[in-house]
Amino acid sequence: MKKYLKTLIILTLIVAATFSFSQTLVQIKQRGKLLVGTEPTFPPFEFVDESNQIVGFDLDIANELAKRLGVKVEVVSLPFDSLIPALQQGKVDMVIAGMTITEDRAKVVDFSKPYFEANQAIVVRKDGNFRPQSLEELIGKKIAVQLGTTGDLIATDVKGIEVVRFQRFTDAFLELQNGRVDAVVLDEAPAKAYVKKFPKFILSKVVDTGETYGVAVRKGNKELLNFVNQTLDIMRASGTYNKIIDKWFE
Amino acid sequence: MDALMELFKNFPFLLLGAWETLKLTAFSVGIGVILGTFIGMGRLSKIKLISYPCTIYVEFLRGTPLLVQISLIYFGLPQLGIQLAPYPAAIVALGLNSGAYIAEIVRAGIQSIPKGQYEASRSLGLTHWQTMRYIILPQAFRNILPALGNEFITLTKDSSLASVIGVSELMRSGQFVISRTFQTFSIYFGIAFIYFLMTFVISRIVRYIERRMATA
Amino acid sequence: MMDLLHNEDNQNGKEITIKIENLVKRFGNLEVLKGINLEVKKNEAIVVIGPSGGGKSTLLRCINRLEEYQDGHIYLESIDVEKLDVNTLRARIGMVFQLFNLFPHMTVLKNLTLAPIKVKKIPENEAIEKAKNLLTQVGLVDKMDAYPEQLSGGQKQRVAIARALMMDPEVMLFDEPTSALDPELVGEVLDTMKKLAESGMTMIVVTHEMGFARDVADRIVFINNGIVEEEGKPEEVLKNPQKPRTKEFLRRIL
Repeated sequence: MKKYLKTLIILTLIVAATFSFSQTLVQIKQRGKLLVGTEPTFPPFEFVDESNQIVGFDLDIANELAKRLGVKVEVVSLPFDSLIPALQQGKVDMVIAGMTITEDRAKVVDFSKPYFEANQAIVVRKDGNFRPQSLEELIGKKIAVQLGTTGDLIATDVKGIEVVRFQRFTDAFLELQNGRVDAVVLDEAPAKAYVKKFPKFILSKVVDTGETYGVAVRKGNKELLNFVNQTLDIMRASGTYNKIIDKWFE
Repeated sequence: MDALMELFKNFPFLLLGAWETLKLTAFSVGIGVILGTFIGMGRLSKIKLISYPCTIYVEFLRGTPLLVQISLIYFGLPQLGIQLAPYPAAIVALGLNSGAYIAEIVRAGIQSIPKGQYEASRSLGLTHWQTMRYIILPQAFRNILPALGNEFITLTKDSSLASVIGVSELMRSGQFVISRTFQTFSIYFGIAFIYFLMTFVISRIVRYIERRMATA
Repeated sequence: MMDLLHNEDNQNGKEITIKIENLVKRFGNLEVLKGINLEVKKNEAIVVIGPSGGGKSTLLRCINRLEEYQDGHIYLESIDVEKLDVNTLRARIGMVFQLFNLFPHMTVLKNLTLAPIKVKKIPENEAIEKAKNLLTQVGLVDKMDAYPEQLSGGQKQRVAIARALMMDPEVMLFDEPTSALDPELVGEVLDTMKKLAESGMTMIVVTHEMGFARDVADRIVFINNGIVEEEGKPEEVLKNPQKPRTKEFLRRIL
């Protein structure tokens, strides 16, 4: 056990050293790794595939960023509500996690230009006859959301909706299936993928919230932010962006 | 049927997570036993400067949720300039936590040894530490083996909380599979089954060691 | 057993091995020893008698500092025991307990060799030789690989005596060594102690065995209520006690 403990301590120190605060581009290059925080349970933006690789639309963007820095992406996989704290504590250089740009979040992190336009979907059971066409129709009902997501935020904003929060949206769907909630509110893309796989659910309405996803960096990290914005511009101009869109959204 | 197929298909993936869970638990129990032995002895010290901090340690760690401790070590320590990656952070948190519970087990184990054993050893000229090492702890450990086995099992299950800081142990591996396959129930069932299998095997091993030691 | 003892310079029992001066011991408000004075000469066997709760065991435990005391002094060969390293002191004083206190997780042989190896740093093979020798003398060499639970009470206590002798103590303390034994097993332990006394070991024995006191003791000390009430040769104290309390005690016990 002594040997293990020693190994562990050394390992810890090495890892601590590699993971130490470093935000500037020079430091990222020196480290050779771009630390990207994400919650890979959100297909097709980020998920773990059969060969245990974290892949998805967001990862392709991350890879593009890393490529231009001459480094490799290292994914730090965390629950969604832990991503911003991880960014603030210097655990990651940036968060790319299908994260909607909101006023509240923008107070604590800096967002890049929007890289994806997403709306919120209201999903219900097909066998019922409840087909809400707006958030207001959910007043007096019970809905399930993924903790800390936009679905959570906009539903919580409407008075009279009882919101049940889960760490993962799949758990929210289980709740809907079990009849304990009347609807699930979540981002359009994963909602479509899920409903496609399970026809017992139906996408009742896509609420046009005009929301957009952004890459989050630590507050005040202008250098990194500019680099991300620049890269996004180049990707759109070069067609790389459209290629990635086609790859993940057909 | 679809659900079962997905479970079978992803079972090897879950087993990889289970292997991580076992490693995480073994490391943590290792730290816990070493820490718990010293803290447990410390709590029984007549010197208040030793016993009080040990008591505070045990009370604090037993009195706060493990989930909070894990989050504190991962997200809180950077405030002090200590950056731990998820895996080491989880081992530290689980090790510190089990150290507190094992300290109580060790303390009870030491107290279960008749005072005469200590006195006989000291009367032969052995020091306090020699007495602990050769006389008290070997007997205490034999007595507390079942309790230590329970702690190992508890920690195997509690290690699932490391998923909140992104450690890819069994629970989190299962969540990955669910997000890919959307098969919530069958995958959770698979996870539960593997946890049960692990704890069952551990409890059998502990019982086997117990029996071997009883006849030794 | 003579050859194993520390009495190369036998001086006819004149030299004082242990001297106790005005010893006071309190447990909280309870004063258990109220000023004990006692001298034990070299090669002398002292038997301490007295009613339960009178402080006999506490006195023994103060001598090797298993108990701390509040006042007075204890000298081992003219040196205040408080000035000695406590582990060195204990290595020089053997103690035998009422409940044997053998180490149950070790064989008889291990019970004997642990302290000499760890405390005196004697090589293991030497310690084993010595242990076999002592076990032969207490008649238990065939039990050396047995565990304590496989022994009778009398055998356990003989092993405990041998264990204490392994350290070549200058003094042996016996704290009611036969009180926990079945009556038929008392004899074998007392015989071992008698042989030890005859070999010249300095001994302080707390016991209720009056036959042993009469036959073996050089001196009997009667302790009652925390003080030495009376002391003297066995025939004097047992046959012709001077103090009323001694008389009363002996009348009840004999």
